[in-house]
Amino acid sequence: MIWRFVVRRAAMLAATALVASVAVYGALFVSPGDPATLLVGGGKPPSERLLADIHRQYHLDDPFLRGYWRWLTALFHGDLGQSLSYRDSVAHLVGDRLGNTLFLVAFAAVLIIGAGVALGTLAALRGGWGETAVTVVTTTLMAVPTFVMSVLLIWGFSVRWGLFPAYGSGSGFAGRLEHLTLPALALAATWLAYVAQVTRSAVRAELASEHVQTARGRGIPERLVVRKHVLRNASAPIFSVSGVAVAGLIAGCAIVEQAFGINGIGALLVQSAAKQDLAVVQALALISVVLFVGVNTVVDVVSALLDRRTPLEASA
Amino acid sequence: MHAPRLTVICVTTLATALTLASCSSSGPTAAKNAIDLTTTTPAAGGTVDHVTWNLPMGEPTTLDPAKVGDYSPSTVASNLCDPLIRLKPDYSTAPGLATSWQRPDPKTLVLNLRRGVRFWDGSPMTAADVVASLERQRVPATQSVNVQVLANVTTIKATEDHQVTVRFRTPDSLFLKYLVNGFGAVGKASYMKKAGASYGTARGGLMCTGPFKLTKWRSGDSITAVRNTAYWDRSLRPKVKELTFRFITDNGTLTSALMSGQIDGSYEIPSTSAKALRGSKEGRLYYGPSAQTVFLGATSPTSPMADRRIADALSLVLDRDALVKNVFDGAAQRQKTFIPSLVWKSSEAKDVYAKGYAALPAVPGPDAAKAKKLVDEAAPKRRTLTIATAAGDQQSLQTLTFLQAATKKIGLKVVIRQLQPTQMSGLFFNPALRKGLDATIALGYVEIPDPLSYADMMTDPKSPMNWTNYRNNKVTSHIRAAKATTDPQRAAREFTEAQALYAKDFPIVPIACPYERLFLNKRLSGVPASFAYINMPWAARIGGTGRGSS
Repeated sequence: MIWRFVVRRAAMLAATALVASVAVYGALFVSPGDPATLLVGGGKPPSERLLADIHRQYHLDDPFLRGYWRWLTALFHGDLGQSLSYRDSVAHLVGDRLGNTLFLVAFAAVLIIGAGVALGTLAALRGGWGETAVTVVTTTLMAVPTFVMSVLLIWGFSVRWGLFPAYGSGSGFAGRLEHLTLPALALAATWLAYVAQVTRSAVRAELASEHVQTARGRGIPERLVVRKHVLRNASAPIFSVSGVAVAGLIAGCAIVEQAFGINGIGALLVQSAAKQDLAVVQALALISVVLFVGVNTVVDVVSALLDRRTPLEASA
Repeated sequence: MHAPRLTVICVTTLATALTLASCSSSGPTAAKNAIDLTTTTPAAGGTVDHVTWNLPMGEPTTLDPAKVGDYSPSTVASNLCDPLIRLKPDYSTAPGLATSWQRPDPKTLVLNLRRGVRFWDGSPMTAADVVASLERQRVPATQSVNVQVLANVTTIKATEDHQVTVRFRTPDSLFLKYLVNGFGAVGKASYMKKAGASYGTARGGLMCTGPFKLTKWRSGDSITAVRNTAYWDRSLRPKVKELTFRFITDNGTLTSALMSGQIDGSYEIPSTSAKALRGSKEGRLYYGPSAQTVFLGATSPTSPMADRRIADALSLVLDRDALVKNVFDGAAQRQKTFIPSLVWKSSEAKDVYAKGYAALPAVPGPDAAKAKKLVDEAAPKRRTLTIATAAGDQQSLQTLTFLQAATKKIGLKVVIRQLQPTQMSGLFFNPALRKGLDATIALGYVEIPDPLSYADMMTDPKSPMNWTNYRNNKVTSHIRAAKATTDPQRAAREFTEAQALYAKDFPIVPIACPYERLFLNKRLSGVPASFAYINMPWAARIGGTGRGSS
């Protein structure tokens, strides 16, 4: 049962990736501009011959289908192609940067799930002023766009107080932790607030439910009631919204990486799209789609396991 | 995002701190502007372990001097690879790897090379390396941006161990001046041959004689160089042990990184960051004379702006003082022509150029009535002008918005079209990408200390940059004569005669000459503040001031 579900999701993933790759390739294909001129940009006007040479070398004049086919078949041989602007293999470029992006996303995910769930649970259990405070803070956080949050964090924590570096990705675990704290906060803020709010209402709903009332009536200690009955039952919606949040981070990375000067695949995507560096954009679009759909699939499967009431067929 | 460099040359004889005489002659503005121009920052003292520098235009695509012709790659490569002739902060020239040169006849140039110069690996530089460095730029596989410079060259030969002789089809006054940039940079012949197409990339590396050695290039992250302790020019042996370049293109991030001291300095500080950085305690913002120029050019013969009267009308409604104040944050100079005067201010024939410049009509003040009259007189078929700018280029967008508002008064409508970087860079060379456009705003700079290359590129009927099919035979013949003579006085005279003519009928609107903006952490000093940095080993001059931490 679960395997059939997983296989079907994998097939969907492949289909989505294929459609996305055609769309991305097509969009860059029809957009005006000549990437070769950017490559030789500046200085003197390049000779026709030089441009023609670059066009031939990177197959820039291929018709759409031939170009796309060339890319697809190379992909099956494990070749992501050559970057036009970096004059390097795409696999190498992505490999260099993927670690930073994954670290950033994982860091933000921990913040979102850890802090979001903790805040939401606390607000729901405590009630009163605590709840009001959490609601006000999270509502504010949800309203602040990621790039504004980035600017605020940089201004406060690195320029004013000098607590964290203003840019860069750092090296090693400790270096990355230090450099990526502010970016992860900026990336996590909106989703953290969202998860906190969902958690709060889910926990509230469980607290008011009949089985919790019954458990309390039976004199089961409050600590156990909260853990065994409230949190366990609230975990499915919390997990599924957290999953959506983490998948959403992949898309949000580009903004934060640009703002904090992080050498990740989000920033690479933005820069390469501007330069019409087809091979890089293609590869990154594909990776994003696979990651996005992959995370969603894992979330669906785990949610289904957490809550046996969710029918697997319907969620597929 | 900047438009492609149009290789303009703006040279000035600026000794040290000169106030505003750089880019043009508008006296009244000079009085109003309180900006002091500095050619160079105060001389530096002690050794510094590490300097982190930013390249605000992004990561270079290559450091191969043969392919370098843009802000970022030039800023790095000029510290790594020495050219045959060196550019000085005042835009004058001095001997580099060539100590002297003679012209035994008008079609021959003999370069005498410096002795005792060694590459980073310790091997001596010889005439063979110079020949190889120049010759490889003719080979299409090198993809050099300097192919045109070699078009008139017949042979390049090593005539002695330390002597190279270049022969030309016709006399060529510009060749020698092109030697100041990547075109004249010398690499080790055997290394270049072995590296092939990867020379100058993260993988292939470089082998030059410059004050810094390229050690590491982590693509997307940083470029690192360490000092060459055996550098031939003892006065320029670097005080910085390690130099790291970063590629922050976001204005806000750059400002924060400079203000928190994480980045030590940067050239080409954007005007939006300048406001915040001026008040920084972490370092100082310097303004220097520049060879950069911003202008509006017609992009097709059918553009209403191809009629000089429309170009004049646009020029007449533009309030340049307000523009300089609001868009350029005061750090720009009005100018009479599209070639900044820094280009020739240090020339041997500077008096001739200066006289020619003085004779040009003054920059017009805003005069809507006169502009309207010109538009009525020209009676263009279309009254809508579509003007291109690079998406994200705030400075150009603001300038065009100014123009848009002003032209309403004279019955013209300006439509601003923001283009993606590849489309913007492509339109300079591909007529198909200029379709539907009437004009473009451009930021260019003149790399070599001679105004001729730029005037020629714009006005020659055969030039790919002559988009309006401009043709004035007298202009062309004066420019040809200037290129063919090796007498600087005569070349200057021919140029100024051409300039006097095209100043009247060539459809272009010079807007302003932006100053160079340099931010430097207070712990450092010594670097030039002039735009000449782009082609000189500027980082070899950095040293400590003994102030500041980090």
